[in-house]
Amino acid sequence: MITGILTGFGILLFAFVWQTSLDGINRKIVGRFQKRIGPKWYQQFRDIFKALSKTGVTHGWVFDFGVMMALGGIMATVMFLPVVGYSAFPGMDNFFIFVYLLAVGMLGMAMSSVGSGNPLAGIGVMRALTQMVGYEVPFMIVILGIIFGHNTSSLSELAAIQQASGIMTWNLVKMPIGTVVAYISLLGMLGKKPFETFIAPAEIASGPMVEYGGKQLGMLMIMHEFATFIEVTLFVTLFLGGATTLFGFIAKYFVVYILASLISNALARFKIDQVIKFYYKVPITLAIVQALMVVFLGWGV
Amino acid sequence: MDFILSVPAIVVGLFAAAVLAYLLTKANKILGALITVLGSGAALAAMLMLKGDINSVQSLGALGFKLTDYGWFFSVLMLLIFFSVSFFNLYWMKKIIHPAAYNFLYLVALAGTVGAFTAKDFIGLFIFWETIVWASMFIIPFGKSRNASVVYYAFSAFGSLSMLFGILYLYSKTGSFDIQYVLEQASMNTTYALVAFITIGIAGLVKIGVFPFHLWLPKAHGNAPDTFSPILSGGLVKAGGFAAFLAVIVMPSYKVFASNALFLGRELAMPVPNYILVFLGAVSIVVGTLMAIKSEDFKKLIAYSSVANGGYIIIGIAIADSLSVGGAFMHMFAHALASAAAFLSAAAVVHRTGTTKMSELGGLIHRMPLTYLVYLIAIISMAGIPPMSGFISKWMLFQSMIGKGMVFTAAAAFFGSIGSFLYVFRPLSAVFLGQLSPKHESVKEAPFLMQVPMIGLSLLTLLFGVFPNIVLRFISDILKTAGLDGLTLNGLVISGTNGQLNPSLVSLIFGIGFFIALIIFIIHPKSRKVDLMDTYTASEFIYTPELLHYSYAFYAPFERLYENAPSTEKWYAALIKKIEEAGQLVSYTFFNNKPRIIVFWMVCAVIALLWGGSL
Amino acid sequence: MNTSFIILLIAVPLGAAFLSVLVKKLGKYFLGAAIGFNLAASGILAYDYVSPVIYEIGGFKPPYGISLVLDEYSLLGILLLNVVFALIAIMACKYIKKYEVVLSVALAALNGVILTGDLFNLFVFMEISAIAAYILTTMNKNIKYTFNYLVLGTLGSGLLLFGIAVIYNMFGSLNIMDIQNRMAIISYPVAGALVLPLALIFTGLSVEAKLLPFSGWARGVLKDSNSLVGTLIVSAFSAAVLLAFGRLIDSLFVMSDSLLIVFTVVTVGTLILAEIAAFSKKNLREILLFSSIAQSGLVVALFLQGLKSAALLVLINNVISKMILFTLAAKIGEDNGTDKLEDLKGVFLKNKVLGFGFTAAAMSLIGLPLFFGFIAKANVLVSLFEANNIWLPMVILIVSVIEGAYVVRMLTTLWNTGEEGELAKAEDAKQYKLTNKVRLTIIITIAAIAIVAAGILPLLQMNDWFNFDILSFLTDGLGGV
Repeated sequence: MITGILTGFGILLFAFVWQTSLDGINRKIVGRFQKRIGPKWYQQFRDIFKALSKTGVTHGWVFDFGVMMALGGIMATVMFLPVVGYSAFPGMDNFFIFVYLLAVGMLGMAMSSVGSGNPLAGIGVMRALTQMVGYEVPFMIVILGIIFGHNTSSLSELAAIQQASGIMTWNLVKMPIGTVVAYISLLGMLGKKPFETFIAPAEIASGPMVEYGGKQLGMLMIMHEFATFIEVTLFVTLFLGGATTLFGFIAKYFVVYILASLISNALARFKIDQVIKFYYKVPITLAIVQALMVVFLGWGV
Repeated sequence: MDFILSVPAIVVGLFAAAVLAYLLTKANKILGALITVLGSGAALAAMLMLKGDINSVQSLGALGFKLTDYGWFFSVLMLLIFFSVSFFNLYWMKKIIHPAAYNFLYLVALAGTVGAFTAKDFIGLFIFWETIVWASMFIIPFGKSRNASVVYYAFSAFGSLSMLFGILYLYSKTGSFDIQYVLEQASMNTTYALVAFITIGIAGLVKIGVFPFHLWLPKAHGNAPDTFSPILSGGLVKAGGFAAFLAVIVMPSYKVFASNALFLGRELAMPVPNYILVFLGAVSIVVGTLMAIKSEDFKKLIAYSSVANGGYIIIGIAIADSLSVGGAFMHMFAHALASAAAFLSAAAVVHRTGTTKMSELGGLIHRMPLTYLVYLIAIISMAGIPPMSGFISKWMLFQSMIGKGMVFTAAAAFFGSIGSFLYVFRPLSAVFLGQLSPKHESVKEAPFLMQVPMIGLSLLTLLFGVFPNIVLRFISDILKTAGLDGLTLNGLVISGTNGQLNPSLVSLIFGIGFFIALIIFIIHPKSRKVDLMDTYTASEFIYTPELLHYSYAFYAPFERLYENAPSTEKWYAALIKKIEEAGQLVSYTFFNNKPRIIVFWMVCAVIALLWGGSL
Repeated sequence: MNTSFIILLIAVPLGAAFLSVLVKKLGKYFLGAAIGFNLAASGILAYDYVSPVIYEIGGFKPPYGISLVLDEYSLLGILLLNVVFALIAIMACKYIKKYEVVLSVALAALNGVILTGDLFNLFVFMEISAIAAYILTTMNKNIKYTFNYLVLGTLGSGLLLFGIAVIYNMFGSLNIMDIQNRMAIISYPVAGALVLPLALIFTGLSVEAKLLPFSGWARGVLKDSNSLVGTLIVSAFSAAVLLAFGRLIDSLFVMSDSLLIVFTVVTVGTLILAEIAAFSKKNLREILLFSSIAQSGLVVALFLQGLKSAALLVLINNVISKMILFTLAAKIGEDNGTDKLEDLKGVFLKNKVLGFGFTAAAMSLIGLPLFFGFIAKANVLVSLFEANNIWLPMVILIVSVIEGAYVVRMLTTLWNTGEEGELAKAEDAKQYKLTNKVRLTIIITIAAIAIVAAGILPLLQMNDWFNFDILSFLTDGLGGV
């Protein structure tokens, strides 16, 4: 148990360092993409620690409590993630824990931001939740196929199964349709354009984030890094066969994340009802087709 | 065993307490309400003490009682809900038009509930079942709508009379009312089994509020007196699960109709009747979720969420493997606690503010923090998020659905599960968070005796979310006596078809995460406290808190997508209209005070009689 | 056992009627005495009852003389009738004035309808009771409806007489038992030949029994009637006619399958259509009168199925609960000038005891457990299932849902105030009047307690309460006292 928790802390630390650095790198890449020089790769660290050290405002106890719940929930989720064969609690890294434990964090953040009393935060949360209905359902249907096919919902076991004989046993190859759907869902999870509706700085002043400053903002930035880490790692583990080496993991992670970021910078933003309509037309149909293939035809098992 | 501590004694005692409560309320209202607290509390204690007497048989006159393990489970759950809610009765005596009748009917409904779950014979089950119906039928109109009670009765009567049909049909075939015996006999004959399945199944579906019988829930739960909505939603609805359990598992339909299974030879092989139940459950999840998202009324919203949750329960029972049925039982348990707590917090809000319209409320967290926490815990459980008990049941149900590869059902369940985030957040945001309206400036926290049951239910939700195996062990025994495999429970770990879950570990890690966040929060500079109105408004000056509160038509962009969807509500309204028109037609045709027309009809009828008779 | 009590049941009220004509001032007392005597006499008859008795008037042996039959069936009938009649008269005594003679005649005739063993006598008693009813309905001050009733009633009794004449022509007898015996030995196909008379008798009785489409008079006569007339017609008259109907069906109706189907269609159709009509109504008395029509349809349908005991239970339930319901509905209507449900919100707030009576009766009517109606309903369904009949239980149960809906609407409205969407509050109640409450309260309370007791005791005391024979219960339970 103690070793498990310590491993968890290790994963937590790795996640923070890696994802925050990558976020900085990403800012640089995006800068180059837009013909700017872009900031240093460690800029994101600077931003976070600066925010933490400032004196901010608070709108009441739920404003603070929600932030702690958000960060706490997300950190707990990260501690369950299997990374490069390290798993804090082997066998317990059940897929559903990630979906629902992640929700604790999201709920905390939503609570905190609406607790600020700013209606823009309310609108942002509304959009975030609505978007969640959009991307989660196709995603989970694809995962249903995977779990049914491999008969386990443990992430590390799923990774191990995919590692059996190289790239040919990756779910990317075995369930290509599902992978596409999951990637579209991943864009929604990450809040990348075209699914950036709930942040939409020009419309609703960053939505849920509108009232934050100081340490609350800093904590939510950390939370955001962790959330991104969880989502991308889930994708890497479920579709790209996880990784046995640190380098492999970093490489896969890098590709997935930077690709999402590039797509985001090339596209415009959907309206929220367009988001739902889109997810409930194309991805959900593909997801069901994929799941039916797995369940009835046995393809991709 | 002596009569003093036995099921019939509890039932008789509750009826006696009901009469006593009626008389005492006439003298002193609070005293009468106190009887409901003491009566339900004593009954709960007695039922808990009876745990060792499971499978004992007693009789009261011609009525037989048998305490089965599932009957005990349901009874304890109901008694717990009734007991918790009864504290609120103390504060509602002034608000209810017939306080004495309310207290009387409250305990009669409770007696009926215990009786129904412990009846040995079908006919006893029906008698108590109907007793619940009429007792609650009189309580509902004390609230906001008289029509709600009519709707409630019409639906309930449809269900219970369907059950009566089945019971008496089977009696005429088997010559017995004994539940065990009749179901055993029925399972040997496909026709009898089908009758039993359909009639008892319909009773269950109506009671639990599954599509297309879900309409009474928002009507009745939304409009019943605030103290009775938690009883309906947390308690009485679960009787539907009981009936469905009888039809599907105890009979057991999944074996009787096994030859009619779809997808034979695959994981998702399941008899057609069970599939129908699964389908209805899936539809109600979607319908309940969509309607809950749309609701503007706090109580109606929770009522629609009960429709969706009823869907999970029915699906769980209909899939009929040990994990799914166990999940359904756990879900009934978790949802009973959570929805009762949610309705109680709604009642507390009404007690202090006098309204359930979400757009008129807001910011109550600053006045009623405890009520807020109770609601928060309840919705975390309803949305199936750890570390609350609702997570455990949803996890089990998902395991089972995925294990069977039920793509479409699982899609509906996933939709309902994510959709529940939307609707449970709505009251949280509109009622408790956001701007505090100046008219609620002086609102106080709910009084102490109202806090007690709310805190109690929340703690139980948390307890069984962290240590679900306390309940699951008992559920596992129920499954074993019902002929299913038990659940795989290992210490704190629950094993499903394709994974394991250690809820205590999840809770512990969440606790650690929260602790770290707390430390990060504490070690950094203190924040300056500002007023709620001191927010970013793009440099506009707004002084009206209500205008800065985003609460009306919260999910408008989403609602717009299905505003033109077909509505069962309209369909039922049209049906009633048609019946009324037909009635007017009868009245106009045959009762029109023009003798010549009546004579004409008479002549027609005589000719018809003669012609028909001479055929 | 003094068999002369049988004829006295008819003779004493008739005598009272004559005396009332002579001494108008004392009419009230004569009527009271007649009612009291009938109560006592039926009680004594029940107490002494051992086995069926045929009372021959003037000592002529049947089939030549006129005979009265006292068996379990008619014993139950006279008990029910005289009790109900007495209770109604006491509750509505303020309307009795000037109508003592008619009421006495009605009492005599109704007892006659139940007791008679002779077809022609049946016609005579029916006709007398109908005439009494016509006169009583003039109390409504709306002659048009009375006239309507008169026309239809006369037509009905004409058809009845015609039917009886055909029967007499066929069998050469008017005595019911005698005809029954002759039917058994006649060799030609009885069922086919009987179509005409049976259809005529059925139609004739249907007018008074309020079956559709023969009951066009009922709405006009009953919707504004007072607590005396209306209640008498929906409970006492209805009971007597239905009992006579049942006796004829039991003994004379040798039906071909197709005739049975046609009769059943009429009765079940009455049940369904009248319940639907009741559902569409908004006035108390109108709802109740349609409900009464529907119940008549059910009772006759059960008689046609040969389920005498079940039919009697439904009949008893209907008569007792309708007595309470209609008395109160009419009373509320009279005292407040309206019986529109909308205008009577929360009327029982200040009249709780009456409200309880009304509620118990209503719940018994729709057959909820712990009330007598449930015992009746369970018996009906069990006996239907045992007769392998599945569709009729289905119809009954589906119709029960509609019935329940309007009854519950009535109850919730009468008990609670408040517009739809608002909390029911005691302060919002209007001031309703209900005069003369003492007698009403006592009687209704007793009747309601009886309904509840009859609903609970069998559940506790009898192992086969869902399958018991009311007629043998009467002799074993009461006669054996």
